[in-house]
Amino acid sequence: MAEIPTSNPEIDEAAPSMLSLVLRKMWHLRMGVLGGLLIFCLIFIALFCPYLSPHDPFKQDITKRLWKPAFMEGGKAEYPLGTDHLGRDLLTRILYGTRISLVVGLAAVILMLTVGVTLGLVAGYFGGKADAVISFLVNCMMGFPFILLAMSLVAVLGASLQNIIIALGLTGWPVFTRVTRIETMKLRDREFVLAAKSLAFSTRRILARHILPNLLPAILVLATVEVARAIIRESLLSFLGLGIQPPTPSWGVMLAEGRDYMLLQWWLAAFPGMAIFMSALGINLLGDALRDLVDPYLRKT
Amino acid sequence: MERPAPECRLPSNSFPAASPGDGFLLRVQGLKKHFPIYKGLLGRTVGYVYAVDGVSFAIRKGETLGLVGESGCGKSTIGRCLLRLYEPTAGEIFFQGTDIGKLNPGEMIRFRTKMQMIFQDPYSSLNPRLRVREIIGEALRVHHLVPEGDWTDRVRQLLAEVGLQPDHMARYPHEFSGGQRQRIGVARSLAMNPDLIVADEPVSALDVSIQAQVINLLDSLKEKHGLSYIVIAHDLAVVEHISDRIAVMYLGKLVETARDRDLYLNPKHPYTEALLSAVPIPAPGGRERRKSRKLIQGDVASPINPPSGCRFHTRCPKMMEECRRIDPPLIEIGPEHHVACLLQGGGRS
Repeated sequence: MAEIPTSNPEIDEAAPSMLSLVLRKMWHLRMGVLGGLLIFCLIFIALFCPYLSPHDPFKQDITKRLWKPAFMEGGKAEYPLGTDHLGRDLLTRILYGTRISLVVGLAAVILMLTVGVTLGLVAGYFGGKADAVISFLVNCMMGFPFILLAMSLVAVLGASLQNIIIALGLTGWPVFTRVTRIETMKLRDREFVLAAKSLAFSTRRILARHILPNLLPAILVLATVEVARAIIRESLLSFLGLGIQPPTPSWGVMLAEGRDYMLLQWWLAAFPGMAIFMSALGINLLGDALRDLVDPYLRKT
Repeated sequence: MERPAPECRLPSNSFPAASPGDGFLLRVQGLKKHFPIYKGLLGRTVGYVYAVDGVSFAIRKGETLGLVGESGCGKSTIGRCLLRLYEPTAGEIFFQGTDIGKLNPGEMIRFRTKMQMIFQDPYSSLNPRLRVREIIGEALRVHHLVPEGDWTDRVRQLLAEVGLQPDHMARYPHEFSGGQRQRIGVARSLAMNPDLIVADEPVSALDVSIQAQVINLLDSLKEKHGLSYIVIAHDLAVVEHISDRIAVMYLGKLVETARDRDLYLNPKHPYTEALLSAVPIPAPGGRERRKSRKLIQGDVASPINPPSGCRFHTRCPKMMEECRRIDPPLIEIGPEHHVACLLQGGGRS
């Protein structure tokens, strides 16, 4: 007969240590931790790419063009991911591309947030005519194909980093307005907002301190997803030649350049594509975990 | 019945004093609130919900008025109109002799400090993202009600007054029970040093065992701070304990107002009688009284299309033919006892 233990040592252990609590929490949010690590790597690379990259991203050497990656037969350890059609190091260009992607993603989303959340708050809180006008505008924007709008904006403004951000920001805000408007409408009639009104707080204070913080979880999750989308859209615009212009190393530009060599030199398109995928994945995983953390009802568990 | 009016203690208060000879803290005259009903693509107004349709009453300083009626009869709307959370459609509200309907926004802010509200649902009335310290203290800081730096002490003091611990300050609302949350709501109102508190169904969302505690808390604070209350409830038993006078409402109108005892012992309006016999009787011998219960049938008529004449005639057990035509006014039939019913001579005078 097997002996039945009278007590489980793991359960008996008195108050769990801080470390084990943290570890348990991290296990609970393991996907978020993975996302966080990916994002951390991304930011680290963006900040320190001059020190990390083996070569100059702009230095062309026609004699070294289309070398294979180091892990393939004929590849050189000097160029770990091979070289492109102008003999530039692929790894170096991918590392430098991180900067463009992060800057565009973050700046575009900040622009979307400013426009979208403000309009959403106004439409949701005041309702009436303001809501009618803003909602109509949102519906028009949503019905308009993104590519067409972004293309015309870039065509008018000219293709530059700054204008890409403006184009992405001005096409992306309606999602934020929608979410903010609906959530604000739900909160507007809650009794704590009525209480704030009867305490004679200004409308600005009610919006900033009583409504906006309660919208944060929804907005935060949306914002992270939108960073990923903005990165993908920047690549798309650059791929079409409407975004970042060569020779600046943007992942989209590199995809476009690699397209011509897809059949034989597949790595030219595959590695920038993977970079886009990994960043978008990391941001989305982090966004999901953040939502769980920000929710005050889950904070104590 | 009247209590001596305590001094107003709000230091920063420069609001004009009550007009002499009036004697009422709050006087409401012909208050109406009609909510428009929109329909169609262009948002045409197709009708109105006559939530409150001509209500007049008054409260003395230190008095508690219970406002009772079925759900949907406009009780809460009155409460929200008083605080101008809703803009009244018509009527005048005099607070300490000043018509608050005519105040500009700046004056309204000073006025707001004197009238506060306690809400029905303690789970919805506290901002879930603020700590208790901020929920109670925000008004203190925004309106400079205490010297800068003293506000946490004041919050501590307010918490003690409503029976909570000082260390509750650092917690979030979701860490409290319903009764405790309602106490936080009370402390938040007290922070403004109000003269009048409108309690909108203050206990109906709470466990029965907690209800008495909160009611007793309100009662004790009244003495201490010289407060006046308007307690809105659908339950006469709740109002009975705390009120000096009771006003019974039906479908946007007052049907009877009387002193606490008069109403219970000598109800004049058929609707009041029906409400009273719906109160459970825990005492022995209740079985006898139960036989004489007068329960009314059916639902409240629609406030969108209220019945002609007396609004209660569709459900009234004593309905007469002329009730369909004549809308009885509220007339005085005894000291502080008003009834709106043709049976009591209303309409003939």
